[in-house]
Amino acid sequence: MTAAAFFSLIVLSLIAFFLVYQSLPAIRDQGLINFLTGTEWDSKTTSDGTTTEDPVFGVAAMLWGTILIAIIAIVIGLPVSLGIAVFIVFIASARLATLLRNTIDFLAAIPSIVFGLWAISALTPVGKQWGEWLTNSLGFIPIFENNLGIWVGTPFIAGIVLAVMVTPIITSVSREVLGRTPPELINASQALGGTLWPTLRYVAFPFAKSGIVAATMLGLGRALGETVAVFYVLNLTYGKINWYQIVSPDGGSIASLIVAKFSEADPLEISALLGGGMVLFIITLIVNAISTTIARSTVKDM
Amino acid sequence: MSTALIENQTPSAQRPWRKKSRNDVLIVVVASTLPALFCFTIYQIGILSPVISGMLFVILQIAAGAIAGTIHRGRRGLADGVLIASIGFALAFIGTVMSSVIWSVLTKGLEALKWQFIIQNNEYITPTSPLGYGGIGHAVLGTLIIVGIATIISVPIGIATAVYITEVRGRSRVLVQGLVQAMSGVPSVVAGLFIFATLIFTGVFEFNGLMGALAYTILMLPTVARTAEEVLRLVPEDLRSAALALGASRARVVSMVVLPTAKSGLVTAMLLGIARVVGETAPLVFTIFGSAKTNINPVEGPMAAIPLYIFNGVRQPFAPEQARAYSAALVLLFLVIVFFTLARVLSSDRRKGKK
Repeated sequence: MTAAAFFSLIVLSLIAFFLVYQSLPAIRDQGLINFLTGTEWDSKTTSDGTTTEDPVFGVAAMLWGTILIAIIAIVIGLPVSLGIAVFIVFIASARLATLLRNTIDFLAAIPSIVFGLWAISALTPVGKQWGEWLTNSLGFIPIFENNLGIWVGTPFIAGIVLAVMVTPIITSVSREVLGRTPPELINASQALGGTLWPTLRYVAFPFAKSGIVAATMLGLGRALGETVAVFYVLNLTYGKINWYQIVSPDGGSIASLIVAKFSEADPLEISALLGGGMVLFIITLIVNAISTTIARSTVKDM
Repeated sequence: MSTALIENQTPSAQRPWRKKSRNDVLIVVVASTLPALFCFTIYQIGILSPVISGMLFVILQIAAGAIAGTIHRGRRGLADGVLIASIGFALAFIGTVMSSVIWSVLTKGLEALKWQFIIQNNEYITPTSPLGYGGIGHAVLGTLIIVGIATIISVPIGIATAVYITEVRGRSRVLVQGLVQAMSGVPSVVAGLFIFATLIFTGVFEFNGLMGALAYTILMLPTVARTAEEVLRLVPEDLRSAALALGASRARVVSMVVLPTAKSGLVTAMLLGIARVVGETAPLVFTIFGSAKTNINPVEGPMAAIPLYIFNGVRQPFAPEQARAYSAALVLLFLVIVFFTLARVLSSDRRKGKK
């Protein structure tokens, strides 16, 4: 039983060990600094298998792209999740709350590939229009710049898909912590004349703050690691880092990079892709560790 | 305009214990229909583009919420009105997304969905073959085998982990909990890559179904362990004490009292674990390779699975193959719903039994 309990430790260490070990050839070839800061990703191999130049592998552009779409996802998903959580806990009748809870849980169970299909067929046409509108009317704000005239495959669209996917996670955790607000505090606030907003602002949110932060980090972890749904709707651009132009079709995502390049990669490139996987693993591990620490520091009885 | 309407009302006996007065209802109705009507008219006349009318609607609706709140409760109601309107949009957003997801898969997926689609395999089918031939029988079998193996491996380990956390009250409990939490954060693509890097890239195994099952195990284990942990926590402490008082050892308490008590909950844990992994695509890309033939041997030769079938099918630029991919997605969604509903029904039975 003890062995089974530490199975997860074994697996986690094995993942770390093998990803590092197998990505060493590529990292030795490129140099760790170049691998982490380079933006090009090109095996320089032509279709007939001849190599003319040295391959370059750098994950910086993909890494920032991953973070950028995750940020968009949280910016959209967090308010929506909080709104729904507040509705379930403080406003809805018991029956409606149960219905909504089940709906949200079901949304969490929908496979990412189905979201991917939805993103291609339903979201992309709409997201393209929104992007175009954002550029045309708010293009003077740098983040809505678009110099290419194409609005498909933008981080904006990928961010919306991820927002939909992280919403159930953030909602269910924040619903739980908001629901733990002591009823006597809420009653006291209402007795003092506090309506919904003051009660939330001065009683419920301070009480649930760290839980909501932990939920957000959990959602962030999910958004960083999401693969197929992003793969379908994001155009990967190598060679430069797209820092902030969210409606320009220059995206990056380590997970998508791995899926996109995997099938035609030679051993050195596979090794480099494993290096990318390792970077992703470390980042999600850190984000999750922060989330767990925050949750644990406040909720002692968990 | 809305103020005028309300002031013209004849004063009626106020009944403060009633939660909703007629005034309140009127305010809500006016505040929620007026902006919509206004923007719909603008859109119909064609002054503004749909996107801009939509944006205008959001702004007007929130403003209307603020005004309604102010009328109702004075300045204190302002924030409430804005909040309620925004919550309405959050609900509308998630409702729209939900129905849009189901609608898009349903409309496109029904086209190719015939009985033959579920039982035949794809061996002689090219992306341009007309609908009505071939199917995903091989992928359904593959998914069942891969998920089945993953279940066999991860359920015992997951339950043992949960038992360790709840029954062995050592200091390492928190550590194990943290590790399970960390493992649940492993991205699915990394799980697949890990199996690839460890077992396939090194030449120990070829691409086969077992590799996919092992990748699934990594994703499934934390879900099973965490759900099982919650379930075991619900077992009343009195039962454990009673068994211990009768002279049972810790191991017998677990095997004869705790686990049987929590049986249906443990089944729920298993079902939730299955629902978690059955649609995962990324781990399969690196492990089972995919196949058009039926292969039921998990340790030899590439295997097919529904998610991977969808993943490859939808990338083909041919209409029939895309239609097949959407139908496969419909089948997958159906499987997820079945496992999800089963888990729900079982867990609600348990809760009712408790009362």
